[in-house]
Amino acid sequence: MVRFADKERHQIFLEPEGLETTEYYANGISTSLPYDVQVGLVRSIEGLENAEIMRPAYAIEYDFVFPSQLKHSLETKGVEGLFLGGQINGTSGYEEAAAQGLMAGVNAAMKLKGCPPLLLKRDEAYIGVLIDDLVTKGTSEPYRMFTSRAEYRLLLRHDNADFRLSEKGYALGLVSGEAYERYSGKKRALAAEIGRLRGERIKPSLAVNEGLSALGTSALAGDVTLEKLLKRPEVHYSFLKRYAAPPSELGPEVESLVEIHVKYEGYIRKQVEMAERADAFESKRIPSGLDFKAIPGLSREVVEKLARVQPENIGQASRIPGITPAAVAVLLVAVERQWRRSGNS
Amino acid sequence: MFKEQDYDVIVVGAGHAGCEAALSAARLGMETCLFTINLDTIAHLSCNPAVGGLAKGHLVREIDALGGEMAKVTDQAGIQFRMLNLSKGPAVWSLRAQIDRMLYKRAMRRSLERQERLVIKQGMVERIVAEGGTVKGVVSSLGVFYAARAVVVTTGTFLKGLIHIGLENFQAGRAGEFPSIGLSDSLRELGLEMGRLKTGTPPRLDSRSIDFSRTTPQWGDDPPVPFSYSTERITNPQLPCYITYTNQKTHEIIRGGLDRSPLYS
Repeated sequence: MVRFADKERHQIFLEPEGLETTEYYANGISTSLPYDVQVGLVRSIEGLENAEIMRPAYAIEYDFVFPSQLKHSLETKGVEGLFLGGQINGTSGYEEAAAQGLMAGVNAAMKLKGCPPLLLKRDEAYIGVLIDDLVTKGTSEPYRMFTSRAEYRLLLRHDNADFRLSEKGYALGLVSGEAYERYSGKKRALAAEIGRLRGERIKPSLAVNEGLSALGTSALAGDVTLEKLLKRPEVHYSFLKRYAAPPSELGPEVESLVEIHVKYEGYIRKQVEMAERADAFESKRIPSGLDFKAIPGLSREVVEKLARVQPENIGQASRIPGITPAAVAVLLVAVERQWRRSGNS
Repeated sequence: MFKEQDYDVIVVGAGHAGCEAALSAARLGMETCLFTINLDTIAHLSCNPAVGGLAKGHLVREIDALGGEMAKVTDQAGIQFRMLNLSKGPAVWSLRAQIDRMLYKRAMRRSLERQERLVIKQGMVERIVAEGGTVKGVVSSLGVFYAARAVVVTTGTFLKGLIHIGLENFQAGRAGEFPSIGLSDSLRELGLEMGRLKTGTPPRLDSRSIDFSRTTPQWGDDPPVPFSYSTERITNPQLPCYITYTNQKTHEIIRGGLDRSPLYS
């Protein structure tokens, strides 16, 4: 509240708590002010002049565990078989909590089955970004997810989460056969339609050119592939549906996927390449129990940070706050020497 | 000490993390027990009655793709669905749903109770037991030992929770609920380094006392787009939210009360 006390005005969003209650949540009035002040505050707002408070605002403080004490599996480094998930790890939000809970439950089961843990990379899922941030960077205030935390945003879209994760979920036995079949159908439909757009050409008929001009884009001089036409910023999939419909209706989900794939193909490819380059660092494992103190050229501050986080690979080490590119280079040389000495990598 | 039962996995806390943890462990074949301080507040949305939004909506879709429950429950409890950020690039489009709190709890509890190999118990876990650096189980406040080969702790804001309203304060896990005191010390004794965080939640108002004609309604998308890839259609009636604004007077009132606010937020 103090943060916006200087602004001209601040938006208050009134959200219903349910279908069968009169209770409303006054989003934007988060405060630990005394009750009498809360009443005056609420009633100073337009539309709320006579508002009755059913539950007061409050602040809560609570203990949390510094998350750098966790492995990527969400198992604690100190106690085998003890996993932590949710706000206890310093996060905020139901979704952040649920994501960690899912991963902690899966990895508890994987451990008991003697299987390797399910770990998601930063280019595979926001869940991967969330957990990697927590265990690598720690947090001093409630951590919430933002799209700006992800390097590979165009890969981690909300519309393709099933393309990114269903196969893993199905292989583990978490995703039902029915859900997996639905995903597979979507995947086949997407591939078939992209194939069609690449192969099929559209002719510059009068109707097509009138349609294009209505969209504010130039007329066709000769025939072009549907893919090329859809790459124009003004042209959407709905246009193709009108003038060069697919053999059968795809549904809004697949249509949107097709459009994003075609229009953003170049950007998506760039992010895939970026992720592949980063992967070279991610796959350089740091031998567990490596004595960072014994590596010449690392400052005491860097050694302390490495010892606390115990990064699993060079990529993770490079993301620890305060670890400089120079320190990463020194660490990389030391790690490669160590692997050569032990005869594997 | 009385020993009731051995489990593969024990989950402590039945909020959003605990419910997903218990379901996924049980689905992967583990004999699982989920402990909650209160059976009636399973999957309680203790802050805003909404799921998703920027970046958070992405997490919900990922949970769904991995076979988790949150998206499906959201679809059963959603009373408004809105795709946000459509004016920007597709990377940041995000879905948000307004939720009927009661429907959400009921739907999640139904999923838990239908899950094979999953037992749900009301009880306060006081201590994590470990021997030789390996977890062995938990002890409840009734002094009962439950052995487990793995323990997942998902206790949210309950560990030594302390609520502040002005200069008044009292121990609570959430408004109206017991805090968990012993468990926090037990984690410390196991060698975990702990800190303290704070968060807040706004007041709830009675809509019968709100003049909605002086606010701006905001409806969701029609038709609503579901969160789960497996939901065909949203069947709940849909409701709007309403927008209003603070003003200079509001801000003066806030400044006037700051000397009695223990935590600036």
